[in-house]
Amino acid sequence: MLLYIIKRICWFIPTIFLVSVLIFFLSKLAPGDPVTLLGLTPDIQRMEHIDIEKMYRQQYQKLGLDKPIFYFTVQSYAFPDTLYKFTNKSKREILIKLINNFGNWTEIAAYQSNIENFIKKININFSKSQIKKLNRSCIDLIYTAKPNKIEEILLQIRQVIQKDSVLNILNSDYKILSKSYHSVINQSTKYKLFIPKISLHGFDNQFHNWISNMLVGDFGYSYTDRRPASDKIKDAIQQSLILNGIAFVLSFGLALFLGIYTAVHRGKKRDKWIMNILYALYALPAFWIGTLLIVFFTTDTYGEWLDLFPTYGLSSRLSNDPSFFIRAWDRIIHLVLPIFCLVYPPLAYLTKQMRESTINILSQEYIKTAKAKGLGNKKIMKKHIFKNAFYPMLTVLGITIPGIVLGSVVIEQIFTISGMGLLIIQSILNSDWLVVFAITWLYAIISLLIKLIIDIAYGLLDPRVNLKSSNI
Amino acid sequence: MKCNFQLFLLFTLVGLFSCVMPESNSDVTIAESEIPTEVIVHAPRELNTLFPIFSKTAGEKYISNNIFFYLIIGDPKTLENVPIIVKSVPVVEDFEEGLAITYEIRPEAEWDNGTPILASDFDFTLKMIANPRVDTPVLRSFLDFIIGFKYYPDNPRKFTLYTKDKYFQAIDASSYFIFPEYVYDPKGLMKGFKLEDLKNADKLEDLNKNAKINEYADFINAPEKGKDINFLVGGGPYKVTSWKTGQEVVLEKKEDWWGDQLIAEIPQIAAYPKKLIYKIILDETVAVTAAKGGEIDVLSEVSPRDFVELQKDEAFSKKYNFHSPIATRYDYIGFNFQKEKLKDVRVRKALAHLANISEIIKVSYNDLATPTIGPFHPSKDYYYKELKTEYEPEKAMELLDEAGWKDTDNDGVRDKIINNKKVDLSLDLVYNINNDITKNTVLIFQEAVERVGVKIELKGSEYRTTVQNALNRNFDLVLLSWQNSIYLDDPKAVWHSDSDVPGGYNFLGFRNDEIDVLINKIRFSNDKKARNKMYKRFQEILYKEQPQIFLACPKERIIISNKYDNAESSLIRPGYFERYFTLKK
Repeated sequence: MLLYIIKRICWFIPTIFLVSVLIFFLSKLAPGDPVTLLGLTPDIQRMEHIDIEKMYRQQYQKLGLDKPIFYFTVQSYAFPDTLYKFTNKSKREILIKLINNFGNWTEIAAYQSNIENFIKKININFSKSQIKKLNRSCIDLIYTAKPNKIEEILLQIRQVIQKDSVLNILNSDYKILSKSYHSVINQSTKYKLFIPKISLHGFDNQFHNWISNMLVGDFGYSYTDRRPASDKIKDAIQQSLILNGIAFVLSFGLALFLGIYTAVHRGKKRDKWIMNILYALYALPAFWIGTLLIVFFTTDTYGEWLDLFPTYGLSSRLSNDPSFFIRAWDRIIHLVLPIFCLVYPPLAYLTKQMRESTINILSQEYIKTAKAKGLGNKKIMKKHIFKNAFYPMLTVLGITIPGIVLGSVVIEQIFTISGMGLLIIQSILNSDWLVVFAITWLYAIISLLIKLIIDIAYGLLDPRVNLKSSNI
Repeated sequence: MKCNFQLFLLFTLVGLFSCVMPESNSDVTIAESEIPTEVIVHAPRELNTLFPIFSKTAGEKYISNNIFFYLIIGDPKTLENVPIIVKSVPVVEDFEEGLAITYEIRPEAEWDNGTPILASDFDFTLKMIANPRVDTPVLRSFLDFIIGFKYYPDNPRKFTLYTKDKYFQAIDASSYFIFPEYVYDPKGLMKGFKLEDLKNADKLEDLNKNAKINEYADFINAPEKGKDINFLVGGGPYKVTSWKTGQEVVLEKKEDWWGDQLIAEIPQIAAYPKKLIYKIILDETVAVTAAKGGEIDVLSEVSPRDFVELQKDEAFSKKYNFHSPIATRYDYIGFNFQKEKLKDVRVRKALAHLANISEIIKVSYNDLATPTIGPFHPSKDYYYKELKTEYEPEKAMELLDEAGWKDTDNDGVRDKIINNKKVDLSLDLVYNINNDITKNTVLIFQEAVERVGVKIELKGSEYRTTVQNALNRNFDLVLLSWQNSIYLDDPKAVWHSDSDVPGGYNFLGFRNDEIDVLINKIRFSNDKKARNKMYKRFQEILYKEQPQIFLACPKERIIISNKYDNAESSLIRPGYFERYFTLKK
């Protein structure tokens, strides 16, 4: 048994690592720039004298985005090891395009540095009005990777310099710039693009920092309100646990009862009625039923007697210092409709599972033997049927429990309950990716943990699981 | 500051606002029986912070307006500046390259602890925002034009602000919120710094390393502060008394608030309801149901369809009034000037002639919109209403023929030889798929355009991805909204060639030398007549160049319980000034 548990745990650790890697790389594909999403950059139109790029770089570094992404990178030989250090995303993309076009990083880097030197020079030596057009062309040059477009802009710059006698002193700098561009074209090393290269980056990388923080519960900061993501999750999880915990107990309890009941009375009218009603309920989408319940049972629009429940939320504004019973009643009355919407959809599936499993047990020889031995129905049910029929439900439990923590996106949204479901949908809509991926990671970890526990529980409870001979 | 937030609230497709205002010239005495115990306002989005320097949504800022006050506000009816915290509109003089704007805080104004509101509090406010480590760089950039602060030793309420240039919105922009120094800097960490030093770019490096600057930034940046009811303290009439995350925020009127004594003199300062309750309900059906049950007094951002349906609902319309003033934003289809096919103005004009605006307004907006000819609000006196682009498919076909786009291979799509290669006139249209208005609009447009042989491929994505695609210029055509202003327009951000840089808002890549010159002049012109002439010329050029198809200005959809008086609509955001509500006699 111990070996079984150890082996299971041994599988658990690399699985968590792989899932974490997957989630981390997915997070890197999320749209939007974290620095911009956090609102950490000033308006580029407004602060002309401030070095916006420098400010951006500071924030970029503060978020640790200037570090390599993973422990190693596999890329083509044409790319430098330190491309991630370019904080400006647009510039980085232009460099990637240039490398993909020409494959000679040394020449491309020299060309980029010459553009920047050229801009610096014109800004130092001339007033803004004198160089307006020139400055514009240089900015265009920074963000252009198409060869014919670059040629066109270089030609424009040359014409401006030649036309204006004051700007004539830039001639030599222009020549250096133009020469460096022609070196990029003439000394192209495209073959390097086809040679793979692996670079090692050690532990000081974005993934390592991310996973280290996640493991100690530091999920980073929300982009929307700058609160720690862990605090937001903690608040939301409490609401979801109340709502989904009760719904889970009710739906599971009902399913166990109905499953056994219909199995015992299989083929009879009551079995058919129950199952058909459950299937019909299953076919009704919860968001629709939820909305209908709100429309019809929370106001007096369709008759005063139908104003039975509150419209939204999990509590009302009560008078000062209400008694425990008033608070409890307020909570119960708020929970009725959302819980109903959460309980009925999985009921058909759960009941069917329990029913099938019970029918299977009922046809076993040992049940007939027990009956032949004269054991009472209650005893057979308790000792043989329920216990054995319940084992397959453990798997269902494993799938369902993580859902309790994750909450229900639709029901929480409709009833305005600030649980995990609502948090995740709001975070997605607000591109609050740190919260989204923290929840995703948490969900993955909880799912794996539950699976581990269920596996171990199977081993402990079900004697049919042969630990010694199983290929664990 | 009011009009500068048009950029701050950029792209926000939030629904807006009509408003409610006090009668400025009538008897303002309100009987106790007319004062509402509570006004319940629907908040359609989660509220994350009410500390205005960190607010990211318009909704949060509008609630903050009841807790903190600007120096000056706009009159909801006349749109004129009304001094609130200050005694009068400021005295403005030329000073070197810029302006000297002198304010004097009114003697009645005081904080919750009974101490007077002083010039030092506004100096502190500016210094707090100028602290380079405080996480509010966007706001910092808006107030960047204020470069100096002068105290008057003989009058602690008087101060002068110095600006770096003669920017035409300097007065409005300088009238920001004022925060109590004793609450927001209890240790006096910012006291040792001068505004001029904080604005000095050469000292930025040292400031970033300064221990006090960092200690203060850590104190103010703490995210829990935005919801801390003891921290949200201002000179306004309300204080936050309860905040239930995801459920509601309750504001209670302060007892013996200093502004109450001034209502007769300044009706716009009035605040009557004892409680303002903001109920967060994310689902519109639920919010409408709650309103039907009498649980909500003010609903905003209602979808056009529900708005029209509710107007027809007899029982509902007996209890509520409907307001639909023209919103301060317009919807448009923008052209990407980097695309070869769209460089010819005749193609852009042709596509503009294919937008059936009246049908779009009828179908997509349920008639809750008004056509617009350009980026300025139709209420402006410089709005050039004569410049109309009619729906004329024949003219569109002529223009396309003229531009050389003809269906030579009879496949139903016009084509042309460009760089020795036959190219179809096929274009991507990027739009927000989660919005019924945009979804219907693109379908109407696509149908009309494809009828004349132009292929439109619809590329719907969720809102933020659409904006990201626009900023990254991954589109041929893009359908978006732009926030305009009911005050003077500063078109630099969208239309100046300086804004045509990566991350800039001129993502269409529109460049026009005359437009650049006009914008540079408009921004520093204080001569109304000359400025209006330039605004008109500006619109003429846009009409000629057709960088966008100007679709419509949507109308607001606001529903307010008819138990309240003082509930007429205005163009000023947020529209419903719930603090003015009184119960009907």
